[in-house]
Amino acid sequence: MIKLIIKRLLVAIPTLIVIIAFVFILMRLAPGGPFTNERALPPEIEKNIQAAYNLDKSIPEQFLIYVSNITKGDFGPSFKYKDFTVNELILSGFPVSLTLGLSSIIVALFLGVFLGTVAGIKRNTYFDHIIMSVSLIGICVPSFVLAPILSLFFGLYLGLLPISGWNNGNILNLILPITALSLPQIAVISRMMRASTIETLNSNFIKTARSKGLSQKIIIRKHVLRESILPIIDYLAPASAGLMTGSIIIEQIFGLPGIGRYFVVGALQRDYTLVSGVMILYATLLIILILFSDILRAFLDPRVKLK
Amino acid sequence: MNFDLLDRERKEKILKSALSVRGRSLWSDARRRLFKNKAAVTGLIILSIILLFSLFGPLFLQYKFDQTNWDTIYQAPNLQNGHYFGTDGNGRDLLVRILYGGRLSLTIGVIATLVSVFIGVTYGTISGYLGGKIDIVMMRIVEILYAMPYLIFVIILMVVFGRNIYLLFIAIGAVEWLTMARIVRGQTISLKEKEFIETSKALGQSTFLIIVKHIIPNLAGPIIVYITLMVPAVIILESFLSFLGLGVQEPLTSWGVLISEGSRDMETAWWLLIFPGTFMVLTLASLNFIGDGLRDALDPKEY
Repeated sequence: MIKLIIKRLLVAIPTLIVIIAFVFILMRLAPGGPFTNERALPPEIEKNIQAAYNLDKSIPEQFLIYVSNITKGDFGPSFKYKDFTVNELILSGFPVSLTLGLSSIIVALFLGVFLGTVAGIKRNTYFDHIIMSVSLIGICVPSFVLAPILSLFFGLYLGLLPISGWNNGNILNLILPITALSLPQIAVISRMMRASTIETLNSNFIKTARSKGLSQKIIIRKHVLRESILPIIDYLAPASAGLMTGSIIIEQIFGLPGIGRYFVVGALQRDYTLVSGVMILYATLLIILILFSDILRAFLDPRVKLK
Repeated sequence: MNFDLLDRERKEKILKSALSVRGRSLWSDARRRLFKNKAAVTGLIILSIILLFSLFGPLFLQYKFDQTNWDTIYQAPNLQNGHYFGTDGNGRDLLVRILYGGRLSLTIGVIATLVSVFIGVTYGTISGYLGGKIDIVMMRIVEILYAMPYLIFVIILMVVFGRNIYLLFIAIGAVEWLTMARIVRGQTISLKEKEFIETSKALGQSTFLIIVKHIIPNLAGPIIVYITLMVPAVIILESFLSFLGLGVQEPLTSWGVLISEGSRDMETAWWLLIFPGTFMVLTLASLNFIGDGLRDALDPKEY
């Protein structure tokens, strides 16, 4: 187990460095520096500014400074939000995005696994057909179409739920964003779960369990679920990546002050430090998640250790 | 039955009927199975209608897609004055804009998919055919890239290099090739052990020609299935970017742009959101149906 973790870490760290390098290079390639101005500054002032931001050093030196700052957890000042550092912006948005993302993935996992398993067990019944057609809607209706329609219907026509704002994390304000964000994932997860449940139900060890006379309940809980949930664990990381990108749009639509919103504003205004800070944060989170899902998988599936 | 004893006329008849029986190839079998699949056929019909409408519809409508009219702002759908789907905040006809948007969305879907298929097939065949250490390294790279939040990459690319349609094609294509590369690699590995590849090798054909002439044509099935499932993903991606204001720019339009505008104005003008949304969802659903149908048709063991 420890060997596996070390092996994965050995891959994860270079990956992160490559991402940071990529972001850094893109930022340097970008046309127009942060201090490109219509009005030419006196050369002395320009020199001072450049020195203050280390722009007078060579590119490799700048990269080293950048990386060492990041390892200290410092993403530098924001270019466009004057008087704010990227850290402050990210910290202010993080709780919102984390609440949204975590609750969506939990909802998606539980509902997806539950619906998929039931559909797989009751294959080709009405229940199965209904779940599968609803999940098809989840796949075909992108979240940026679903979200406005949901808020139009529940917020404006029925007046049941608030359509925008954070309101200090009031649960009513969160229902619509979480629904819009998790529905596509519920759809994908329940389809995967259904397929793998059907496959597991047809395998030999389940036949053995049946012939031993175990009850259906125990077979499902102890044998089927444990085997058929493995693909879902592998899907955890891509699902989270999907949620991260999805949250960018959902935060925009529902006016939530999360990281995704800063990312979009930063992207539209060419705030390179902010954009790259968010990018690196997302990549780090994802890599940690992949590590976590690999470990979880090894824990659940003894065959992985043997390899 | 002894053939010699038959009279000449009957002989001819039998021979003729034998000639008229056509062998069933893999492809005609697949076509038959596809047309038996009701969902796939419905998808094909809906998609063709949307395609034809987007291509030729604007010719028959009296408004232009960028024609503004300050007297007809936010008009609800109306059959009398020719604004069948209503108008937007600049008084432009929504129907024409949806059709133009459809052209662009579908074009981006197809072209970006082709870019990603090109990269994926090249990468996958090389990795699978060469095997060994090269394969391990190449697949490791794919695995690492899988862990990236692609969309964020695309957004950064669009930010850094400006919002340009051609860049959009390449950026989307460049992030969507990973799954293709994996599928192609797996198929290539099983293909390269087959006798006809051995024969070509023995005949001294170069690796490049073996890949192009023998491996790739045999991958047609999975590639086609993948393309139909990829196009909707790309359309969503493009709309996503356009929704954020990073994709297609005015006065050009795409479904993503229209949905984005519509969701901003939905309180006053529901039609601006519902109609483009419907067109997009119908297209995505039909492509998914066709893709699923093709997969079942081309690979009957797996469903």
